[in-house]
Amino acid sequence: MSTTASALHSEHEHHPYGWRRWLFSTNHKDIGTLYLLFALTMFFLGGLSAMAIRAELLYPGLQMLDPDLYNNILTNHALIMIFGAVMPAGAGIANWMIPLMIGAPDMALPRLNNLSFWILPAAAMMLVLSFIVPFFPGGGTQVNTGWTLYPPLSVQVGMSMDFLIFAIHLLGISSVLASINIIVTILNMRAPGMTMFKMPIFCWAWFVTAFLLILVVPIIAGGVTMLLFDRHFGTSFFNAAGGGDPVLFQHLFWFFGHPEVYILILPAIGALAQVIPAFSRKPLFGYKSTVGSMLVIATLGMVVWAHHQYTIGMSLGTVSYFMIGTILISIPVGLIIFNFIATMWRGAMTFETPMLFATAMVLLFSFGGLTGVMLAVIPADVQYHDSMFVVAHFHYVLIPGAIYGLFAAVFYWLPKWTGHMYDEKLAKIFFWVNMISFNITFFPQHFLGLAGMPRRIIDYNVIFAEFNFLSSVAGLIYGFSHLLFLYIIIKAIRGGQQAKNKVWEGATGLEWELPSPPPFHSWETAPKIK
Amino acid sequence: MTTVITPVDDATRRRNRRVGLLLGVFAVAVFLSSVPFWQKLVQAALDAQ
Amino acid sequence: MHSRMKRSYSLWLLPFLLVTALPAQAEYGLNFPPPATTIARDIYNVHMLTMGISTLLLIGVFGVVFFAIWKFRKSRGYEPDQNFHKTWFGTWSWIFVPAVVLGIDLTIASSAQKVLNKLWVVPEQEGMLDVKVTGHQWYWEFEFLDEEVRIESRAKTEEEAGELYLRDVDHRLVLPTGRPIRFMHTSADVNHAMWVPALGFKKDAIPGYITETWAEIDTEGVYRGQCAELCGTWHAKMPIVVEAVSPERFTEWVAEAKAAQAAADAEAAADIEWALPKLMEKGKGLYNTKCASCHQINGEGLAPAFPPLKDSAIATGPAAAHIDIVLNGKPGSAMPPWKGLLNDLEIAAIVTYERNSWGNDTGDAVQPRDVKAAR
Repeated sequence: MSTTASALHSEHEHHPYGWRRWLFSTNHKDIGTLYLLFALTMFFLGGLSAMAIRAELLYPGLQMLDPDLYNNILTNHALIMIFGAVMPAGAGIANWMIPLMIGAPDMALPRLNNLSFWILPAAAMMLVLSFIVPFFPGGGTQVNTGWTLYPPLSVQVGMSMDFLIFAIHLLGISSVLASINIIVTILNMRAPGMTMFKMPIFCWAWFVTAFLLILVVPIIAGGVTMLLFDRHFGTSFFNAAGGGDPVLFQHLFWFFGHPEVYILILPAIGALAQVIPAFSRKPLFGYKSTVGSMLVIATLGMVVWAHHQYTIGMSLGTVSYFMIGTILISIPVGLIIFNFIATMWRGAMTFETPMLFATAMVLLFSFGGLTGVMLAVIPADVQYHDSMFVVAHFHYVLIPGAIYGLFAAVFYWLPKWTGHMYDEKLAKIFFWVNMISFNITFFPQHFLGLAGMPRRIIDYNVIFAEFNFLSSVAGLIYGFSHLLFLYIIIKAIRGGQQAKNKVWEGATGLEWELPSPPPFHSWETAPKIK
Repeated sequence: MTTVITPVDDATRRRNRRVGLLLGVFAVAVFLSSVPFWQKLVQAALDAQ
Repeated sequence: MHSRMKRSYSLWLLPFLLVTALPAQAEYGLNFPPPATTIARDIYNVHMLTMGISTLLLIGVFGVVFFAIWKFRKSRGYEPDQNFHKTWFGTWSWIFVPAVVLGIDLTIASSAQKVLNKLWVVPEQEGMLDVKVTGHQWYWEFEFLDEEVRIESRAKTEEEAGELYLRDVDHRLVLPTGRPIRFMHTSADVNHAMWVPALGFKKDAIPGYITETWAEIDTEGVYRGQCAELCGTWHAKMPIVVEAVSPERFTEWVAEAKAAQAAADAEAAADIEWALPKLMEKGKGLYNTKCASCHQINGEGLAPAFPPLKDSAIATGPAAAHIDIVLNGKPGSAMPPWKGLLNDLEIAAIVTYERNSWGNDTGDAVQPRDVKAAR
């Protein structure tokens, strides 16, 4: 033991500086920072594409984009936001916080950690290439399939689809490796006395998420590999004329795609389970039932994928099963929301920015969840399916459900990460502008969908003009509000009031016992847990 | 000289590697299970006969 | 009465946005258009039930949270109850909360299941009208199987359609009221989905599959819808217009359509020499409806997906190769084989037009018999 300690000491002196510190980093905090910066970059790139979509839909008629370019931007918006922004942001926070929260010096597999991050920029490059190759002579057609990549349309696309397939492979490898690391860290690196059921919920949430990732990401990798073979090597997995089945791809895609929603949301729920008790100044209501609910969500979430495909012509028995299964997911989700509200109940609440985002998530994610129940009901879904109602629904799920949770987490832990307090006043302004413009952007889209506007169309009839205009104007405000977020972060990194060890009055957990920012090897001697 | 990048004892280090490898193998198995490639391959071999 | 009820229902979904939505609701839809079939009416009721339940639950959640925010604040000097999660309520809530949610779920599921059974199973009965619906990039083809009538339905241009642009077509799908109709959906290229909200369903058209839906329209009228599954470049330009007419009028319409079809077939079959101006005139109309969405009215195509025909090797080279690509399509691209969709005269006219327009000047007048020989 003593030899390890001395080796540690000498290593402490020699850890790399400059660009080597980042490129060769095996430190969970530095890699976490890299993940977060990467996610932030991609968040703005994805946001830019969303702005292009909303600007195109401002008025009826073709404004500024060609139809295929529009479809390409639409595809990229989804892929960048899901794989580039939300998943890496979650992984970044996991990297930063899990070792701090469980009393470990670092992640269990530090070199693997380095690899799983540095695959991401390569993958992002492939994604960007898939977007720009069609602009070069001989570059083929643009990806006009949407992120679902359904064949046969995706077989028609030019070489940009191949870039996209490789991007998905790389992103998948990266997140599987990160998940392995997280699981091993949580299983093996907990401080003595930190039993699984004493762990903060955030760690539990990531534990469940990591298993989900390992179970479903290889499936999409298999799906796109077969797509690649269909495109270039004469197989016909998905080609009906060659004895294949175009619907098989949809099943593979959604077997991944539905759990993916929980992969995006669970880390945010985990963060909320830290934030809400801290600002309510009392313990989380229903620790075990929250953990249980997450396990049930993960299990049920893996067996209800076909509710994304009610219109493909499955048998009555099959669709009935998927309907019931999907509706039942409201039970664990409802229980988690209930636990959050019960945590607030009879607390002594204050509303700093993390709590504002947390409260907004509880309310607006409930909204998105309830339209989810509406969508689960097949007779009504055959109307809603592939309409703007669906667009409104999943933005109500993913923006409050995933991104607001991440915002809450970022503002909650930003003083711990940077050592400086952020500008609370600006952050509150950011919250209100963001939350209000978000609602004005997406709420009217429910009506558009019910009135008959399909999703993913570049041009629409004048009957849809009013709500689209409203949605676009608010959407542009919503998009630009994130510049304020960027400014607040930069300001906090550059300086500000020195953060104490325990930043928030009501916060509990090991991470608040370390200085802000924490030392290079977070916990050199494991803390004792009572 | 080997660099100690995480200050943990060797037993933990070995345990980490073992569990990590196990999960990696599991992920590859899931990947392979999703590909009806094997079935098609066998079919193609049979057709060729 | 009906529409007023609908509007007031949807307005309770508007806790925050009442103000912004009010000016719009006078003219524009906030909810499904009025249903025109029995099944669409059932679907509408299920939709209103789930929306009602969801709205009530949401009001409940908002109410409780806002009450908590108002009451349990530090600034009001409220002391946190550190043992709240250890009370009987905290101990047992994990049982009774799921039980309550399960009750709500079963209420929704049971009423949905009844409608689902009716919607999903196409009734087996005499006198069903069979309509085969084929999605193409980017138009719809409808075939009345027993009546042997086939129509193609394309979006009208902005000039022709005016206010109804993207919601209007050149040939409407005419259907009778009071008679069950079975739709069989399939696709010639990529996935599409037929969606006419007033009829109450949406179904994917998938190549290699035939999916079934049914409807019995009870009100005469014109019902508009659009393709709902992303199908490539002009996904936005695939409207569907259903015109529901009385059974008598439908019989007449079938007779008219058959007569027009017979006349066209006779014209194409006649073995006569067609003069260039005559072919050009016919070809222009056909090209502009069937080919121009990709190759464009000016023949310049839309790079990189759709190649230009102006000065192209195909349209200025040997006529045989040109006829061949129109007949058989180009595999691996969006160019479909047209041989099953167009008769000899139509193909001859289109090829002639393409070879003598936009500066292409081969002077060829391709004859129907040339096309017949190439088939």
